[in-house]
Amino acid sequence: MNELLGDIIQAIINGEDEEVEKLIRKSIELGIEPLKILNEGLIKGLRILGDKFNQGEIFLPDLMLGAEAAKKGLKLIEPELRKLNVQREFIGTVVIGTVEGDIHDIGKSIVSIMLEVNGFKVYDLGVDVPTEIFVKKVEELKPDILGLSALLSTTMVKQREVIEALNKKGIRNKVKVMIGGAPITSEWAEEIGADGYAIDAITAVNRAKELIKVLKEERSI
Amino acid sequence: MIIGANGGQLELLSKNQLYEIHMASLDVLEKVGMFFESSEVLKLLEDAGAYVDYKTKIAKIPRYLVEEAVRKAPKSIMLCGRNPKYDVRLEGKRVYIAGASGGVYVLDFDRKRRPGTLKDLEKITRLEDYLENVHVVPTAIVPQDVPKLGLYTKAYEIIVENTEKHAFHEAENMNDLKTQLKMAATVVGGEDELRKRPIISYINCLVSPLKANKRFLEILTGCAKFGVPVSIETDPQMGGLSPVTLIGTMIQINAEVLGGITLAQLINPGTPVIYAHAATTMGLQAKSIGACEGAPERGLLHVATAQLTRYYGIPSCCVAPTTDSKSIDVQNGYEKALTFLMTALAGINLIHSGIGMIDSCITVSYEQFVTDNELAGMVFRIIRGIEIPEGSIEESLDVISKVGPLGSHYLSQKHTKKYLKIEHWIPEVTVRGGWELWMEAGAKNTRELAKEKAEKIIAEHYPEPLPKETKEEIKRIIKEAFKNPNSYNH
Repeated sequence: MNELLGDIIQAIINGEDEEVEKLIRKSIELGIEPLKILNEGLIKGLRILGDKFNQGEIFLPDLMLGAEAAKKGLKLIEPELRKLNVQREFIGTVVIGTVEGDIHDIGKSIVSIMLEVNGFKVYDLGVDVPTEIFVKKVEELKPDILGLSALLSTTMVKQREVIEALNKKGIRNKVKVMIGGAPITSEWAEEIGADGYAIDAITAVNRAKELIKVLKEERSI
Repeated sequence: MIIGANGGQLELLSKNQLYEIHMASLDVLEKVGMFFESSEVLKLLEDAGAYVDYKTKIAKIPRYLVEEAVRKAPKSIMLCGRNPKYDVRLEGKRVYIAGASGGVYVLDFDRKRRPGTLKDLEKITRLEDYLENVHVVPTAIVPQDVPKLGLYTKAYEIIVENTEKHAFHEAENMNDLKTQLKMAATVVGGEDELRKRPIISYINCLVSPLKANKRFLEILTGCAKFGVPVSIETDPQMGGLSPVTLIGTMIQINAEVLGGITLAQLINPGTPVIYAHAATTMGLQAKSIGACEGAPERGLLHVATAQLTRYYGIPSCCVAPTTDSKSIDVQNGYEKALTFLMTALAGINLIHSGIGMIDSCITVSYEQFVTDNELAGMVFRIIRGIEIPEGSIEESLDVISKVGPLGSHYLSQKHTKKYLKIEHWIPEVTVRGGWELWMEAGAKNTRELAKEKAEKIIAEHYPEPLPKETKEEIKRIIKEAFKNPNSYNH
């Protein structure tokens, strides 16, 4: 049984989605507890994957394919968890997207996947996302963190616009705002009143974890 | 007019392989298509025969449209200087160099890194105006101390004042472009004159994979309608934004740029377009994510690109000499030397956005402009090759026999004096000679010598200024354009 969970982990590290799915089906058939498959198989696999990436042992495509494979596995596990009325626990929830007028995707997608790998629930809204959609999704999904990506010096002003729109709606204090993108600096983050800025995906995850701590403290007051 | 040295000595692909890349790229445009973020542009493509999906904004472009466009694109493009002695003509295998482009930070003489300013742009523009191996002047610094709105217009005011060389510039939108073209027209004496003698041309970037955003389409349309040269540039990072293989990336680059060229020729047949890319590998490890500007693969792509663009007869532009190093060190030297030499041997017509730059083209260093100018001299010497003009063998035999086994040296031969400066590259900041003399002279390394030279140029060199009334007119144009900042950005 443990061998099977070990195989799931290995299949994630190898980025073999079909293998992951096959092993998950087999585990379910064999009657392994769904929560155990989730925690000791999929989530452990993702954690090892993330660690290996951080240590430079594996490359970004290994990470992306591994995460994709784990996601496919999750899809099979989720109905089983629902049957038992058990829910997966997340560190926090993130809504993320590239701002309006900007169709650059890759940086945002890397951050997205890194957050998922590290235990966040991520709603990726895609690229060229209008300000009002960000606001609507914050109201609707009540995330802990809102991530705004901009790659152009001409579109980074939209990050400010989103923050102002959240202020107007009176929901700015409900969510921590993180910004990123090639032209983004910590000075800009400060100027527009963002809560976090990260130079790369790994820093983004660390910063997100810090912000979750801050949120918890704020909420406990 | 500057006559660029001929490159193109290095070819790696056969005619058949070039043809296969060409056909594969046409397949991409016809079957996969490209995204165009403008319904007007989509309509234009549809009317010309493309298959358009207005919902996804994807146009599938039939191959005959592309091949027709390639035939309409000019084979030779003049980039004119404010002073005609700096005119360059991009064509064939001629190689020219454009300076730094789009730097954000400056590594100052005190070796500290700080955000670049308008003042830096002014100093670097004068420095590039002086350096003999910089032929064309892009926007070295995106100044961080001015408001984002109309930033490139303000930058152009600085550039046109501080260099007599051609400006390879950028614009953010149609208003920005129009304002700059008015400024340039004032300098040359009217819009018609500017069409005849374009002292400004534009760098215009697609978004990989296979996307043309609103900004690209506005600038392309503006340039095509006005008739100023425009580059169609794509900047994929291999493995991230294009296939991980060299062949896969070459097919994608070619599809993207041909897609842009097709559109330019549909908007205005005969639009001078420069086939450009800044493709290189993508760092895919945790601590190196981003473009690897000094990668050896880049040089190989440049060879393929030069061969392909010669096959099309369209002038080319690629990025070199580049490095990911954060200082002026060994890595800096080997990455710059290899990317530069490969690109020149490839015969890329305009080598740009590398001179003066370090830190993956994010930071510029004053000393680096001088050392890169030096490196350019070496590269140009190499691509000039071994020259054997008529009579040279006879002259050689003559001087060898004059000295002969009884003579001891060639130092007092007229032949030596006559050919020394033609045949030998003469360094300026490169350290040569013996140890003791070097110690006596202060034991300075290249970086220190380059610093002295850069400081001297910045202190002393000012190009021919613009007439007072032209400067005033430029100020008036900018003031007028910025009168309504809200409308400027659309």
